Amino acid sequence: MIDLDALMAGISLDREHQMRAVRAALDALLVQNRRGVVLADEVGCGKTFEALGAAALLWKHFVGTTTPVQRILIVAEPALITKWFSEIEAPVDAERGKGRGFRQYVQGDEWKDFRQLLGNAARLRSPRDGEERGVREDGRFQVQANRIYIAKPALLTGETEGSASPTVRWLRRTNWDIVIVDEAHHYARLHTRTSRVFFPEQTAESRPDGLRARFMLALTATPFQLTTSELVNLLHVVEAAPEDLETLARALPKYERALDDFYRQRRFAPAFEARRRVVDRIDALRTEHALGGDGPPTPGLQSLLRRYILRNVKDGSMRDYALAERADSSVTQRPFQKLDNLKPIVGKSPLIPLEGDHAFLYLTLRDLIDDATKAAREQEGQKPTFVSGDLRQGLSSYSQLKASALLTKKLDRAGDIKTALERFERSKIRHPKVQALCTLVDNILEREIELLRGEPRRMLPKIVVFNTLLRTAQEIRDALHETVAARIEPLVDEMLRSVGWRDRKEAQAALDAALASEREVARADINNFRGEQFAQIDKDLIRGTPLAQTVDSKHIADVLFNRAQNHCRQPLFLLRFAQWMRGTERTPDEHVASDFVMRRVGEPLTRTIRRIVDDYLDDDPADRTASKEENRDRARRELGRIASILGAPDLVGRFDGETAETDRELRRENFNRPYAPLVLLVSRVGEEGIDLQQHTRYVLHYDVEWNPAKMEQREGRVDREGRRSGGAVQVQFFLLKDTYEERVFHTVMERDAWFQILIGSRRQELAKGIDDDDGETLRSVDVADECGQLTPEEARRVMIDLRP
Amino acid sequence: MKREVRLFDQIESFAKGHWVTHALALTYGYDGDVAYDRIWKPLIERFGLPKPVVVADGVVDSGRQLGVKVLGAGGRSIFHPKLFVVLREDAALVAIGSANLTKGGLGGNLELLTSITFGTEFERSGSRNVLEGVISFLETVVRPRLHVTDESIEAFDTTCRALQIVAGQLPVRAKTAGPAFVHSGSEPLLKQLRESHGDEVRSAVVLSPFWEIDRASAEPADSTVHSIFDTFAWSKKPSSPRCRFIAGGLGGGLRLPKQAFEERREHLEVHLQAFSKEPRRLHAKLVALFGPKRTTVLWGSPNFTPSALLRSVPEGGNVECGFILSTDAKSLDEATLLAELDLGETFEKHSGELPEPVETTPEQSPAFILGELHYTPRGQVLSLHGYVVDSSIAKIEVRLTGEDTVILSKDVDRTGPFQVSGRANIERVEESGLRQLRASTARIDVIAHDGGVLQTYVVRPNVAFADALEVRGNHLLGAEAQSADALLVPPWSVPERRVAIVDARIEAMIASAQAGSRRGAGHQPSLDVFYKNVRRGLDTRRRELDAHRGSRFGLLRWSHAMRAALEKSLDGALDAPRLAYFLNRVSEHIVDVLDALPKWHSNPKDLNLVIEPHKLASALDAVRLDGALLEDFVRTAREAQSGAIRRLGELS
Repeated sequence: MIDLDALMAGISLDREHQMRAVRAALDALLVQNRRGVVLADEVGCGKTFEALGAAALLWKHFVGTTTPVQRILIVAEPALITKWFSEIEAPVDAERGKGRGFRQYVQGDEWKDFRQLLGNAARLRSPRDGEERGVREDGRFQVQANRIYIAKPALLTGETEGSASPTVRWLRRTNWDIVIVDEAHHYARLHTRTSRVFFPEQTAESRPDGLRARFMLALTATPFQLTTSELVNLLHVVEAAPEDLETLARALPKYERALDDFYRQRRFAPAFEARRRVVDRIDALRTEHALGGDGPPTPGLQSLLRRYILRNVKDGSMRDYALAERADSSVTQRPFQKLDNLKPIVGKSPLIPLEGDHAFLYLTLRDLIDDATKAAREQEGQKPTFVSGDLRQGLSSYSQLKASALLTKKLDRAGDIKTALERFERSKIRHPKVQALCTLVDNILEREIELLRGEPRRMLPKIVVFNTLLRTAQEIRDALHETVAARIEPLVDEMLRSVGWRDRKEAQAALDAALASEREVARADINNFRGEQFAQIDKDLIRGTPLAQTVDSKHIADVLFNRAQNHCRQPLFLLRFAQWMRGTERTPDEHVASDFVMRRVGEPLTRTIRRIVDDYLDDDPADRTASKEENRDRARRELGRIASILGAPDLVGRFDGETAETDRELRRENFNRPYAPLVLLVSRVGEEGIDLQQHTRYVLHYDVEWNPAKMEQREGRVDREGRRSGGAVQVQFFLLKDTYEERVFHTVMERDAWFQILIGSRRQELAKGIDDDDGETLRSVDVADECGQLTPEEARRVMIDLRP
Repeated sequence: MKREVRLFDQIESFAKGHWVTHALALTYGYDGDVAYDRIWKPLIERFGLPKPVVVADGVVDSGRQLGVKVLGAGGRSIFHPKLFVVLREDAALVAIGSANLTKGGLGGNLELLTSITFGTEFERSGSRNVLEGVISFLETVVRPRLHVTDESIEAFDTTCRALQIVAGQLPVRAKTAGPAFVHSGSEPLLKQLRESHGDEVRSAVVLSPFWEIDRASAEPADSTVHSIFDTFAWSKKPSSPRCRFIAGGLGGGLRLPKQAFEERREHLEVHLQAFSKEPRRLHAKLVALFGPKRTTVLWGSPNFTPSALLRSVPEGGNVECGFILSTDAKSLDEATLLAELDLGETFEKHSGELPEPVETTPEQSPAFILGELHYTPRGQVLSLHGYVVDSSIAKIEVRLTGEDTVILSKDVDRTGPFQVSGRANIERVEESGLRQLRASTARIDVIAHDGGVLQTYVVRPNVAFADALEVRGNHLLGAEAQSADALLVPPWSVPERRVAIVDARIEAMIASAQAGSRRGAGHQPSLDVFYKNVRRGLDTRRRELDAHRGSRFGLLRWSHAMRAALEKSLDGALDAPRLAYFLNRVSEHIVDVLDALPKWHSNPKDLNLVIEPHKLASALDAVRLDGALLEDFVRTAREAQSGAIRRLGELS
């Protein structure tokens, strides 16, 4: 009998859902004796730590037994190897007992050996990596015990055998205790080469000849985007029981077809008999009999899948959705739930009304679009390409509209619109949406500043604005900058005065002086550390970094501390300074600025400089195998990163294809810190892959993407593990009343609901979204009768719930 | 019977893909709910029919649906025609026969119905004479019997005018083949039949569900049975039997003139319906004469009774109508006709004793003839129209069914047309803010001098068209359910969509009512819907005019629609940008259409009468822009407006 409670007590991950997943995984592996499980949490739920947590507890469980856990293999895509490595390696801040990596969870004495195991992690990126000796066990050479290897899949397919290092060759022969497979869905598609890791012949039958382990942990965020047969392959990877695989191979297509039937019924009302029947049928497949009564007794599909797949989903409780509504001079929010019947909610809401001249312009714009379409149709061979795209531009901002290709057409109404736009520009009439955005941001800041006044250590939460169009980005950047500055600048002055400074100038001077003296301290420190000769940086070393404008050879401390000067002059730095003074009850004296600068800039920067010099620039670099040039490259990257952090971006920054990559990085880096930018305008460039969560509280969708997966990606930038600002993420939509935008919104929300429940190819289809100018949108750019709403009750009854 | 046609099938194939602009039904009995389900609802929802009118005899069940107007045309003589007129663009369908708009007439009975389509587009259009005959019947016989509101008369007249336009386009021919339209307005129908025949009669076939009643007092000249033997020019060598009388089945109140049959026994055969073969009750009527040279057939509404066939309306006869077809004897002989009628199959020769006639008391003619109880939601005016026949009436009172309060009453001091109107709120407001009639019917009591009730009518009030036009779910929706832009949308484009638009508007109204609307009563169309209505509406109209090469009918309708929309735009429901846009686009559109006139017509000035440019110009002129808008926008719209007015001035 295994005492899971006792075992679980050994570790304490941050989130309860992570703990539940780990527990369920251990239950499956140790109690139910399954060979493996799929950890299939949604993006941003912290799967990595769940997998490592489960591995750690497995290790602990078998400590001192005859079958200890000694060898762990992590299979990860090359791009993610470093991420895994740093999660495992990242040191724990001794002072705070916290860190970025997994080690923070295995701090006690009982974990000492495991920490050592973590310390023996090695990355295998190329066939020649890894030179350790092997050991002979079970009559064959295997990798050494007490090792963690992080390997790219190509090394495990057997194709590189000939030229590979012994370690790499032994990888496939080793009796692994635990194999963690990241992005496991990649291996379920048998036509890909990578699938050979587990299916050497690229057939399901060849699974026994593929990579195996005592315990297999497969990680994927998108199990249901696989086709049903691929999903079965995924379960082959974790070596599900043959009889279960057989049943699932028949049951999943049944379920998929039934869902498809349901999807086809979506235009009917939920009360419609046929729609109700199909929901009943799906529910029965899901909970009663996976084969719908066809064949031998079997549990429902959900219980079958739960044996192998654990999936935490974001339950939405960490996001509050609302529609921005303009009410007189302020902008308020109308909250909604994603599965609400949104039509009446949107219908009742004033949203952002398009009134007066703006309404007239909108109507004329629609006319122009129709004229242009007609003209194009008359000209043979020319396909009408401007429809919803142009409409979106017009709905987005006037500078966007002004730049639209549509206005270059030789059509009467194009001239009318141009004249009107000029008139708007002269009279400084803002686009209603731009105006609403500014007002909303202003309202947010007003509220947050009020809170901050009462709570000295409170941080101003950050705001992400998603918007796809670049001209609009510039227009809203300029407009928002005005708004934000008008709130922040007086606040900074007020706060500085409240802690005793005469004015901002005086505080700034004190900080400047403090920074200068910190620079001297740092310079002396570095010189003492490894010798002045290693502290000189030349033009070549800072090529391509934001430091490049500094000329000639200089001392590294001078370069970086000079860079920090503007950083320390930015309003939000001054604000933090004032807040800190208030929090620590300090008054302006000769030490207060030095203390603050030392803590915030001087010490960490000096530490970083020491590390750069120590690791890359001195005569004894950390990686002795690397060439000098390699080390200088690494130093250059590190210097670039520091330079970004020390930048002084504007209060409102853009992150899009038009901004230089270094500026983008600078803004992204700083956005995750307490300083400017306070508001980040993100285009499609930033919808995927970047983390913006640390201090962000507000996500504003200035426009909407057709594709539900993309909308999820946007919100996923912020709603993910690692958020420091408390409370739910506030997600707000900006829709112009009675326009095309309403329709897009309804469509996206409807698609989103279906996207959540459908599986297989239909889900992939929805994930593709709609091309802006395809037939469907073209036919129906109007706010039309939208049905197809999924009710929460239906969603509950048809959706497979795999929450641990 | 072999050539059975169903009314709605005829209408549907006529209307398919078009907008049905008018429909008028004359019927004796009327079952409102059945007719609505089978005829009106599809016409309204699928073919965009705006103002259906039913003219029926006094005894009707007008049904619950407010979208249809039912007018009474009863009187001392029975109003008995069954005539159905449907119009689309420049074509008309006229269906005449034996079928009433009742459950029986719409499928429950055996009926005989003939429909004819008129219009230049049809290869075999009905003749101009027939259509003109129908129009003349409507105008001279039916219209004088209508004691109803001006609005209802106007609707009736508009239908007649539309028929005239269709007739005007048909070629004039001296003699036409095919049936002739006949009615009892001035000459007895049997007389007309006799004259059309113009040949000896060898034999005759009569099909009728209802027969005269033997009356001791009656002269043979007042009996249809005797008349057919006595007044026709019988051949020296008639067939035997001379007459075949085909009646319904026994039971169910079938009354036969036993005495007259007995008297003419040697010359006639009686055939009765075998319900085992055909369960539907005979309701068709037909008289056919077979001569050596010619065969002549009368069919339509008249039963084989004296009041239907022997007397004209001025002589106290029924209002009847039908067709007479006189043709070469070879092309239609008796055997063929009898085969058509399934004689032998459905109708079996009766050999036994005829049933004794059931004694009935003749119906008393009413003291008061109800024309229409009419309600105008705007202003909440209730009015009663009719005709006082009997001087014994002292007073007429109206109450809502289920309520005691008299909501309308008037003392009667003379016979003749009667009319009373007054303010009466008979509505209730639902939670949603929408309005409905408080009760679906009202009771009209005709009170004698002694205080006794002479007569009681229970009828559903008609609702003014302006408010009933968009009636859905029996809500009283007037101005607020429409907006000027919606009137630009040609209802023929996709009528289902129109219904959906109205439904959506109702939904929006309910929503805004519940939200404590900030938009007020004048429901503002959403920008997108507004745009679509205006732009697509005008574009569709323009295309349609092109397709019909600016037909006069089309231009007439176009001009009416433009005026209606412009007038509607004055109601304040459109805000400044919408109104400016609306004015701009409508003006541009008018100029565009005027520009196209020379392409279609050699002399556009001839079109004055259909376009009525001065009316259109003043409707345009009445629109005022005074909202807060950029000068440029206002100027553009005003320029377009004055440009269009100028162009219209040039035309008139």
